[in-house]
Amino acid sequence: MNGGGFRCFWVAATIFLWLSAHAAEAQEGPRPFRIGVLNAAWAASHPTVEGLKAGLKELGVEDGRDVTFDIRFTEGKLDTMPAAAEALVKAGVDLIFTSQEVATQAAKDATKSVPIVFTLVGDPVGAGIVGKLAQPGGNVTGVSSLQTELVAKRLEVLKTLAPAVRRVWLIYYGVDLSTVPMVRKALDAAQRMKLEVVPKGVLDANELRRVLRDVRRDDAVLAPEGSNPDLAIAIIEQSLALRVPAVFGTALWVGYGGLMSYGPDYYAQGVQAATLVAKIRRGARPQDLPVEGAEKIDLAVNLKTADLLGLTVPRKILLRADAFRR
Amino acid sequence: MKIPGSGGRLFRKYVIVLLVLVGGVLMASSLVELYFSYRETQRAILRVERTKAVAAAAGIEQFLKEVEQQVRETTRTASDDPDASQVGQGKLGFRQGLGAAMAEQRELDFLRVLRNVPAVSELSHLDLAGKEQLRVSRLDPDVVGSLEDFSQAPKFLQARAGKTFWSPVYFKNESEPYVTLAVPLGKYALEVTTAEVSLGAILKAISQIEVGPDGYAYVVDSRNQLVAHPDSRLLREKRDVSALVQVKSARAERPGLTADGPVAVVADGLGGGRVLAAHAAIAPLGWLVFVERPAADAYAPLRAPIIRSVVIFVLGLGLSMLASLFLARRMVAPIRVLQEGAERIGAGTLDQPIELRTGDEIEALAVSFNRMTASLKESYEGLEQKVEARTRELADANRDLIETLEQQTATSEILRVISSSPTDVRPVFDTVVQNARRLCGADSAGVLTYDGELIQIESLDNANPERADALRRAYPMPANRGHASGRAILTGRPVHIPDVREDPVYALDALQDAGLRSLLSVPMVRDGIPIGAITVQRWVTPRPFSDKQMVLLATFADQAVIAIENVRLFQELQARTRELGRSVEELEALGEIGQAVSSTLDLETVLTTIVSRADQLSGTDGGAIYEYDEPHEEFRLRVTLELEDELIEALRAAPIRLGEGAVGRAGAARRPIQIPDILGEATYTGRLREVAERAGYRALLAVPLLREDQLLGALVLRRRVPGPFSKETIDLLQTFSAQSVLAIENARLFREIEEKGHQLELASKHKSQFLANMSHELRTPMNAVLGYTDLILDNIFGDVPEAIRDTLERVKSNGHHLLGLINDVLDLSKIEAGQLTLSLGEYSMGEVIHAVVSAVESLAAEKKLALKATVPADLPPGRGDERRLTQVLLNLAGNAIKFTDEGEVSIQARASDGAFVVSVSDTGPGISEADQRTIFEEFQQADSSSTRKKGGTGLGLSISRRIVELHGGRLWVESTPGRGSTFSFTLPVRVERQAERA
Repeated sequence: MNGGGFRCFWVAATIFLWLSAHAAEAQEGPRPFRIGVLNAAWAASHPTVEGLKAGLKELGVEDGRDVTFDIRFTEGKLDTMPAAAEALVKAGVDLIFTSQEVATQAAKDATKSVPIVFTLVGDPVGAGIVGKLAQPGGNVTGVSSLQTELVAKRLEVLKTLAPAVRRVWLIYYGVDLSTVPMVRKALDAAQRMKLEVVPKGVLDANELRRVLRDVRRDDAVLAPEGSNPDLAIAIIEQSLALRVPAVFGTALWVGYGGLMSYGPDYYAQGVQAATLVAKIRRGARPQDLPVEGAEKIDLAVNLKTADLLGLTVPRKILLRADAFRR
Repeated sequence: MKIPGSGGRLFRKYVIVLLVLVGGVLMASSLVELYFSYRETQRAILRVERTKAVAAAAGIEQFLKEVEQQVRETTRTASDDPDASQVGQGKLGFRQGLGAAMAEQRELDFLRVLRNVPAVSELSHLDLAGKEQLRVSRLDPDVVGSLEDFSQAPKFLQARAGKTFWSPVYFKNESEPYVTLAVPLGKYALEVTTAEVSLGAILKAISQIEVGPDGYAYVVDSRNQLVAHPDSRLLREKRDVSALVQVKSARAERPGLTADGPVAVVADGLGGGRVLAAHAAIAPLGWLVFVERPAADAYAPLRAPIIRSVVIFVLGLGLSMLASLFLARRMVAPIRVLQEGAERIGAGTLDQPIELRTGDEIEALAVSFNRMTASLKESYEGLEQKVEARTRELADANRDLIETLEQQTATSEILRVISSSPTDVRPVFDTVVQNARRLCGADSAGVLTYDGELIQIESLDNANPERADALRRAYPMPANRGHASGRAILTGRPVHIPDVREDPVYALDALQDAGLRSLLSVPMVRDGIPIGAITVQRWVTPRPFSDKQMVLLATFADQAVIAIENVRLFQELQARTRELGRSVEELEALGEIGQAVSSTLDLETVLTTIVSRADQLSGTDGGAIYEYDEPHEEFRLRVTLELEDELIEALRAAPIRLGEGAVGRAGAARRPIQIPDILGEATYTGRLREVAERAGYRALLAVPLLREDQLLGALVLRRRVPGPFSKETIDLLQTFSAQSVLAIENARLFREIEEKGHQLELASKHKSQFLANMSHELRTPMNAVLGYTDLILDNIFGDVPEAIRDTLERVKSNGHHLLGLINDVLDLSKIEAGQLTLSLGEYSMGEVIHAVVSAVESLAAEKKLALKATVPADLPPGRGDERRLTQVLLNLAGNAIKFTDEGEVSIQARASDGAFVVSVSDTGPGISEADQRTIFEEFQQADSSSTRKKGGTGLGLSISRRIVELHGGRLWVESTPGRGSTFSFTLPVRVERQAERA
């Protein structure tokens, strides 16, 4: 009987020791959250990525300690995008951060489970990336750059800066279905502003140049947003050569000589998306996070180009503008 | 005697007590420690939550204040800005220039706000009238002068009152929260600036609040709707959270107490589960910030102490187990030795002492045991004799008890039989005699009844058939002292004859010869009157009965009386119930018939009801009602009940004549006649006898239907069982026959009235039709006469000599009068014939009255009468037949002027309760009360003599009244002779449908 008592005591002591050892073991921290980045940029430091990093830092998420980045950029090539997306999924990232439709679509095709957070998508519903803004569905959410919502406003700022304009060439990327609602809205708004809008879908810079041959004085060009940097560059060149005003979707191109832009800031979209990324990192499901509209919308004017086109920048534009290029 | 397992019980008890003591103390101390540390953690969590909530609320308040400040500041006034006066002044006048300048400046101001305040997405300027003059937006094109009307919008109204307006939160794209801000513009708050403010910043700030691993924060607006919450799904649902306990308690809190007051609660969280919630208010908006954390988090820090406590508890328990095992073992061993010794004593081995040397109380106990064993041995011997004596006493008592028990069983058995047989005494008597014989130890027993003259045997219990025969032969016999039961009945007391051979008076030799020796008889007495007796007998050898048996027999006698009494009462009750049921049925039947008579005029129905109820109540097998045809002196079959077709055929083929058969005789005699058996009665020689016989009828009852001695018919009931009908049945049938008379009379009267009414209606219609046709036929030639007269007077056929002209003028005026008469007759007859249709349309009562006034003005002026019309300006527009209403009013006003020689005629109109009331008053001679009743009838005037003097057809008022009634209105007169008259009518303002023929 006495032997049994001692056995009990030893068993109890062993359990106690095991429990304390186990508690000590649990102290070890979790591994960092792996973010895969996918875009068509020319370098790893795309403004949206920089914005994302800054935004995460602001939220107390440290690069290296809490998150690590696996950045894949295709240097302007769109056809290698699906492969890059597959590679990211295979690498086992915890989340894919994309910019623009093509990258987002590629990521969406590559995985149905890894959460995807997009930026610079003009019309996520129109592009079929999400079902509804408030309830995205699937594994995708992100920040919309409000391409459709802003098209009327773009026409308006264009007309304010260049009142003589009567006809606007609305250039869009031909294979991008998400532009349809935008074109419809532009046509509708043009009627009210007494403008003629000519929608032209193009696939590459060469086709664009052919189209722009028909541009005359008192015409203007509305550049497509995102998709393909080649098109933007071509529009800048042609509009400067033809001396017609051109309006862009983002301030980036105003820096390269574009007359003006009205639209969301790339960096700011990255910052904005950081909130979504942080939420997903903490366990939220993408389908529960509504797609957000870009919060920071800038008006940028290149005063030098305005001068070149013989345009006087009115007070209204000056007051509204967030950035100038002299 | 070994008790299994009893050796281990004490041992276990010791072990358990020790374990419970040690374990209990350990557990209590751990629980107390855990509870306090749980409370502390909870308080700490709530403190943190509260701090975060307050900070978040302050941040949100600051954010909203800043937005408001910016919107107010930047748009304060355009005229303050020196730039404003520089724009466009040269081209425009000063006023327009300033206006344009201010408008432009305002636009610039708005743009400035948009740039400075990212949260504002749109700004509008509402002018004095609440019209939108300018809208500047971040996403949509700007709009100048949309002039959209917001004058009734709350944002405009509240801002115009000089207050800042915050709208309820709304969601763009179902996920982005926005509010509308409206602030008054300038010092006098004449105009308003509104701004759409995105709450995205608040949402983001709220989402970033971290409280523990699962904590969260959210904002609730003044209507208790979610404004911001990290989970957008909840926002999308537009959750109303007013039902949550934490929200309720936060709302109930007085603002002044929030500093350190009860700010935290444990409640159900938004996402379900218990939470610890703290809140802070955003005072100006009435919004609340909540910070919540699952209540389970409060337990998290307790995990380590719990594990510690468990380990200590287990160790302590182990140690105490070891200690208790040892202690218990030491105590239990000597007790076992004691137990074995005690078992030996129990088994009867008294000569083997218990050996125990422990030196403590247990050894002392063992010595006492040994002493006890010795004294036990001694006391065993004397015990056995005492037991024997006691057993004998018990056996005696037992016998008595059994006897009493048997008697009681018998009594209760009799009572049971009484209660189970309330209608028959026989089973009770049988039970009584059986028990009496058995319990009195007799050879036979009997119950006898006495009806005041003779004594009869009711029940007998005797195993010997010879003796039973002897007893049965002896009874019935009168009550006398010669035998025991007679003697008991006469004296009313029990009679005991120990031996009949020694009783000098005993007279029944036959029984004595059969061997009867001892007798006991107890009378059965009800209310002091003997109604029978119970007698028990012993045969062959005399054996007297005991007092006990006599008492028992007396009890049986009482019970027998009760049983007899029960049966009598029960039978009486049944008879009464039957009687009552019958009365109720009769009343019901009479009620039903009365109802049928008064509610339906269908004679068949009523008569059928009467026959069927009479049949049912009399318990007969069929019946019929005949109607008497006076001229033919015959009875015709009216309704039948359950009569054979053959019989009905026979009755229909040849009706019963007066004086023939039961029916005929009853009719002739004017009283009920019954034939108890048609076969046995020589007088029943009707033609129907054979048919009735074939149908199986035997008895007949016929009652005549009489109205004041006039024969209307007869009511007959037939029965298949022969025998006379009771007086009740005959009385009942007479009542029914009276009802039948009533029904027949009712039906006849109704038929007559209906016929007369129909004839009258037809005649009236013919008259009206004739008048309508005639008037129309008269009017055509009359128009021709008047037309030609006019042509002649207009000199169409050449100049008319003065003398002829004069005559023609008279022809014309009389012709017009005649035409007027014809027209009136035509109108009236149209109304009478139901041919007048109103042509309903919109009209103005004011215009009607004015038209009438201007028509009769000249007439009034001719007679020098004042003519006044009082018409309120706000009379509602009417709907009705304007032409006909004008005709009515023209008639009333014309009459008033016609019959008034001096004074005035006035017309008043007003509208109340959706009806016009129009009155025409005059100062004429007035109308007497008797005439007031007749003037509305055709061809009547108050004063017949005046017809000749004043003219007129006497149809006007009649037509007027009909027209007003066709409109659904009413026309009446109030008048006092000598003081004038007032004719008034009311009619609905809106007549949508012509009234049914007035």
